[in-house]
Amino acid sequence: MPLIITSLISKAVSIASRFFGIGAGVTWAGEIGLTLDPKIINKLIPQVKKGVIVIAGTNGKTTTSAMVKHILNESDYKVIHNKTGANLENGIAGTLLLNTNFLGKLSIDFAIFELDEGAFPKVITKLNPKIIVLLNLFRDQLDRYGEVDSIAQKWMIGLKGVSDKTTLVCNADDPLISEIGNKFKGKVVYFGLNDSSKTISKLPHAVDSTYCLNCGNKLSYKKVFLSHFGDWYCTNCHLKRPKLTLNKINSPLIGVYNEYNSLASSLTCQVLGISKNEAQQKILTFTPAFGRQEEFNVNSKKIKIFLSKNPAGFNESLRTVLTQKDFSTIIFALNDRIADGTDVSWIWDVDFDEIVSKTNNILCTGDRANDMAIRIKYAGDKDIKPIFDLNKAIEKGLENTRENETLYILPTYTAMLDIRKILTGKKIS
Amino acid sequence: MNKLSLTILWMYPDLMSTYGDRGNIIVLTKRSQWRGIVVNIIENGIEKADLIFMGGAQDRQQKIVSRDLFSKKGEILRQKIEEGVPGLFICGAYQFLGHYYLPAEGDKIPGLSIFDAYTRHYGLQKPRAIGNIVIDWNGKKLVGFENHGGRTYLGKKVRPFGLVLKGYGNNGEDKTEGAVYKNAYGTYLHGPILPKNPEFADFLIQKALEVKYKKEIKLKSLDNSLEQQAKKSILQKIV
Repeated sequence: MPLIITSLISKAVSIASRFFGIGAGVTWAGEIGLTLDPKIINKLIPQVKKGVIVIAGTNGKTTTSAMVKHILNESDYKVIHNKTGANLENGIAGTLLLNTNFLGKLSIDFAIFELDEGAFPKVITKLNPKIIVLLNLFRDQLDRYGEVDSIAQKWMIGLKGVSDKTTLVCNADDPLISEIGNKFKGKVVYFGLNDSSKTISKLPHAVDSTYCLNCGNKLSYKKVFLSHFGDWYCTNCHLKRPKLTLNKINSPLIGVYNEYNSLASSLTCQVLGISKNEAQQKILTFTPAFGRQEEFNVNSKKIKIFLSKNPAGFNESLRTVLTQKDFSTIIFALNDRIADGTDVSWIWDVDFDEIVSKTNNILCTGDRANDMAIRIKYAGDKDIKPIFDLNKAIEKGLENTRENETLYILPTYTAMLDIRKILTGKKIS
Repeated sequence: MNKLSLTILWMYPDLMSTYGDRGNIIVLTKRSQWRGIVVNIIENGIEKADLIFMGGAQDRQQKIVSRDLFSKKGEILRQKIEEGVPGLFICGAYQFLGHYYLPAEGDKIPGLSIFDAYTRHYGLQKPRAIGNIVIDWNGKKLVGFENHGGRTYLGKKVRPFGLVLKGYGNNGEDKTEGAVYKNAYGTYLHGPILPKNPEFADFLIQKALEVKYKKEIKLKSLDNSLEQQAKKSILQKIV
């Protein structure tokens, strides 16, 4: 089928699906586009003038993509990117199709695609990427993705199918990502941290990838920055963290995890020819993406949402909240829908001891509020009554929050979507 | 009367710990402490253990553990279990305690043969057993989440831990779940198993104390309303 027809039909589908309220227009458009022409991605990719950037990893995809887009936009490039939730093949096809003009042509410099961990091996070869950014691998939704080792294996198989002109931007502090970089045939550049003021005293419980991938010996760390990230080395076979191309940045967002996102996006832009100083300046005007440290104001009180969907992300959100002077009340919103992962056992890998010792204002909500309340009970001998209704939980949270204080909400993915709907759509009494 | 105390051995806490298995240790510890029982968690020194716990793992990590377990440690573990010391072995640990694990490709991986059982992985022929699970344990319902590729088949010298009411269990065929030998319990129930099944947690604590102090022990009752409410909502959701 000619490109122009596919693109027109897809656009019509998108408009219709949005009009009838049956889900995101982008993925539906992509789904139809792929049905009409299974090679639609391969056909549109060559029209992207300067290249495709793919961003993968368990945590930080959306923020890093948005940061790269911000820097490139500020440098006067025309950039498209797939919105969060559209990071499977259909979302990418849809994003490309909906950005074509009435002749079915694209007129853009760069396309940035965040890519789901599971979809990576199949889709990566169709995108002919100029740069692939590999952020991290954490245990996440084991019911859906499997264990981190098996994801890494699949990524390496996928990477065998990409051109050796592709540049890999890798997180050197994550030993498993380093190993993937190590095995890659093309050019690889690494980012990581050195700043000793950002370290934690020991590895948290919820870590994978702390055994040497070369010899199986337990890895040692000169510094640990977050989860299993750090300046690692093996005392047995002498494998160690690769040399860093970029190790320092002024991040526009709080939290050590956001320093990694900032390093990744800045290094990506450097590979594209933007100078280090320029990238640093431009990233400082970045504002957060959807649910990731997003801020709302309700009746002179502030609400901040930190999407927290797996143990590593949750631990980092807690660490960041605990450094905030305006913190008093916190809501944990736990759902177990398909997009969250149906297995909630991961909350037992999160370290709650410090937060329960610092505040009594903890509220548990969401479909699995019971499970979260049990987790808190066993972390700090605290009896917390679960509030299943998100609306009521937010109201109660605001009651407990004084003026000039901030209510922090840590939701899983679908809980975040629902909370945003409440905060953007409805007025809270 | 002197305070009661329990030494809990957590085997391979970093290698064999996936799916929130740490929750089981937290629950055993807290429910003991809430009753004034002194708890000591150890990672080595299996001889001192009054209660033994081991969780599941990734394949790479299981190989590292396997090397270690087939040294002297495995023999002491067997001895402890023969003496009646209670143990809880989840998923990968449960498989380790059987005769062998037969992967979809490659050779049999020998186990410790503490449970008269073997596990086979059928590769793509059979889907991974994933989802919420409910079993009947001596007339009580226990809930959990299972996620395993291997199928386990029991021999005559063990009895199943429970009967499957919803989910796959050992193999998805014979309705059995887990295995029991003396006071050692093998099961596929993650979730983790103990937080929402406090009656089973208390059973293990009580058994451990009885074996240690060689007398009948009655545990103080605790308020389980939150735990029971959570269990009830899972049962409503899936049965």
